Amino acid sequence: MLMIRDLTKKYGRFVAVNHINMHVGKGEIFGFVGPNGAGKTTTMRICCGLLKATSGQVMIDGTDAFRARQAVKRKIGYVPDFFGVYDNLKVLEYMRFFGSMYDIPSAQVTEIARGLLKLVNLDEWEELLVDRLSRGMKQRLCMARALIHNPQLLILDEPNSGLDPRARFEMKEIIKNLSSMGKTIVISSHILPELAEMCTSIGVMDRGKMIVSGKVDDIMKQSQFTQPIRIRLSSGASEAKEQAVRLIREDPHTEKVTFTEEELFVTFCGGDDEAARLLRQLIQKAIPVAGFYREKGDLESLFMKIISTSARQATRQKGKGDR
Amino acid sequence: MKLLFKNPILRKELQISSRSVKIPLVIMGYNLLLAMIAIIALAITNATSLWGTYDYAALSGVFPFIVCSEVGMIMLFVAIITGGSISGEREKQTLEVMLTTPMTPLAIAVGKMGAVIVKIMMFVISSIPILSIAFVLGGLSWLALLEFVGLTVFISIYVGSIGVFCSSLVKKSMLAMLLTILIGSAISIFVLIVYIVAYLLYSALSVRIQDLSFGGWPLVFLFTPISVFVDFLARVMNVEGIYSLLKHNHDIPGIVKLLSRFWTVLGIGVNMGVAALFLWLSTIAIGKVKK
Repeated sequence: MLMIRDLTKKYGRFVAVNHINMHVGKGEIFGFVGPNGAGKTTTMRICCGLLKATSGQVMIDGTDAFRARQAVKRKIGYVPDFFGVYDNLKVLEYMRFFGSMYDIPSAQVTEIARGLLKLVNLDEWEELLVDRLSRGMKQRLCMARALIHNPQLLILDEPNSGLDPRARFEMKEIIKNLSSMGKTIVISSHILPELAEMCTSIGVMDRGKMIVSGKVDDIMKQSQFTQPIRIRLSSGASEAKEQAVRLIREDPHTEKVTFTEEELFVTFCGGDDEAARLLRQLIQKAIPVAGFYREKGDLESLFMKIISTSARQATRQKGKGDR
Repeated sequence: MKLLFKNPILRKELQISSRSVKIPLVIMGYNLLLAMIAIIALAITNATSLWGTYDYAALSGVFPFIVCSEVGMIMLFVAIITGGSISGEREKQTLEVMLTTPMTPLAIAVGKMGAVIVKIMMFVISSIPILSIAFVLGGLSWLALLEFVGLTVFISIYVGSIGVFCSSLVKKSMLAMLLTILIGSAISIFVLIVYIVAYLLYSALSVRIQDLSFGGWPLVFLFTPISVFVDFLARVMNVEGIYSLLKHNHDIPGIVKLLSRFWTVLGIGVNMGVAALFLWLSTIAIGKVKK
């Protein structure tokens, strides 16, 4: 549905988006993750035709987004990170206004608008002025507005930003509903656990680059291997603990070992096989291992790890450049 | 036609305006002001006959007072309304959302302009009873009244196009409004300066200057809508119009005289061209995909 090839956006010498590639399949929910200024919004705005790319290609449902801008506009529904609503229009009027922009016949637009308002739980408020709506309701109205022309691709820029937990939950349910209706959704958010729960794929961006991109399960699986191993020894085995620390430090996959009275925390870069071998060695040396497990990874810790690695690499490259 | 009559922005603007109490209040204020001007004009034109018989002939003098005031107010209103047209959308962050829809920048600009013209028509139509004082008492024809209504539409389009252009350039509505007044005035002042410079050059080169119509230079005034209005005013008041000024001058080419004969049509044509240019520039500014 969405194919981005070698997309670059420069502002003078500043590279906002740096040769990114990504592919979002039909019906997928793709989560854009990255710190502020990573280039997520810029990428989204380029896809919507609001910004001109310096180079690269964006294909939406097989149509070149730069060459056939008008055609692409009918395939996209965009919800920006601000409301963009007319406070002095009524909810239904607002929907009808945007419907008429897509040349939907006036006989149909009311019916479509009412259906969408029902989908976002605003059907009871159709005669209310937009000004009277709460933040969460306004955001849901924006979502309904973006769906008025039945787009195949929805681009949502921080749709949950500034919403209370209940409004966030409602928004999440709407997004899941839309996905079940076959819509392809590209969403950026800072609330990573929610993204992990909703998205089928994610892309982590930092400093304009796509650092990691792929299916959530695959990425989480990879991230498991970078999670620390916790080793619990049976109580009163202080000598064994020293021996265990020595043994673990000798392993080539060990990066760091820290310990408390009862537990050892091992930053271990090996996979499951390497971890099993380490456990075997500990047992062979008669170290009383009472527990041996990897900490469960989550998107947040993965994100932090990726971003800090990316930052380190950038600092290193800058240092080389300065020299 | 579809661009104007089926324009969603035009419909939305009118829907919002019709709901607001602001427009009826402004129209009332506008008519009150115009009525005051008419009363003052009546008093001034008949100052000499206050204690004697009423001088009906002098009543035609009311006409320039009222129409000049009305045109001035319309120009100001158009500048105020259009000044906030695009920048207002930017301030509300709705322009960006609109640009993700199939609405073209031209449709947006035309919708905004159309809404302004409709509002101005409300002002002008509501003021017809006051204008009628001048037209009925002043012995002026109803055709002249219609011509005046047409001229206000023309002036609204001209000032409105500058307003939409300025509004698409700057972010703040107030700045756009000031810029509209500035550009609108600057064009007319520039035309006047061109004419004065030409006059001075002619004098310096010792070319015989019979009158102010030297070399057909008054034609530069075609580039300001004020000349069309002044010509209309002169014709209606039976004062010499621009053609009348030029026709006696034997030094200027016949083609210039011929052109000046159709001053109103030409003036409207030229200024509509200028308005189209501003509208085109504003579509570039609105739709410009930011780099």
